[in-house]
Amino acid sequence: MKHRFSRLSFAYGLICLAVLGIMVYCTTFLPSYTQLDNPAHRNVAEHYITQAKAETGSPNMVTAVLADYRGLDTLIETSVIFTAGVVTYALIAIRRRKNYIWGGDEDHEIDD
Amino acid sequence: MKSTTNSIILEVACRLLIPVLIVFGVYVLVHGEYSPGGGFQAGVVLALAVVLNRVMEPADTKKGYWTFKIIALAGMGPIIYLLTGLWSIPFGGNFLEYGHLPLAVHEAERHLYGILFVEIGVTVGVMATIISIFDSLGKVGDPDDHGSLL
Repeated sequence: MKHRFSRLSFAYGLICLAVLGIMVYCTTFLPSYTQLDNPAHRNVAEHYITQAKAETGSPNMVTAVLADYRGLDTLIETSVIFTAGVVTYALIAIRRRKNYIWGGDEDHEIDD
Repeated sequence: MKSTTNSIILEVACRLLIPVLIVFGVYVLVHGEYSPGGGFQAGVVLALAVVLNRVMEPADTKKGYWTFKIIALAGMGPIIYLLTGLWSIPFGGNFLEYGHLPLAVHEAERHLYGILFVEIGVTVGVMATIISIFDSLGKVGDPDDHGSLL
């Protein structure tokens, strides 16, 4: 166990921190909470309630918003769930199998 | 005789539950436009049917699970979604604009079919993801399984 983190994973961490910083910075441009004249409270909600049945043909307003009006959001949401599955497999199953192949050494660290 | 189950109570309960779960999952999927439900819920219910089947098996079963294939299936979910979105572009619509899908029904009904295709993608993705998480958690290093990522 010479080093716990390799240089490459340090670079990955820096990239993650940079993306997180950009995201946190971008939240300053969002409208603040509890503000009654937000765009979300003025036009969209009433339009969904009155027009959803006519525009999408779906009596279920939640489905209309989820899959039709906010379709791109749900697409990214599905890929987030897929990413969760891949990461769980990568963290648990691959590590276990490597340990099996290399003799079940519990202290072994997987670099990169 | 080799035992084929963990316990008889578990097996009887699972045999009663699994068909009901599958039928109910498909119902929640295809009826999602009209009633509470939709892709995510249907995916969870369908995944539970498979997970119950795995719970029912004895712990020393040698049956290899399809871990890598199920992850590939989970990747098919967003791809189905994406293809549904791209499908309307050659017919003059925008991305995910279901009103331009080339289906021989009137426009509001095209929206319904678009939502259904999208929900099928979500269902496949959620179902396969939950099964793959269950398999990864329960999987002990299996010497006969070299068929996946490594």
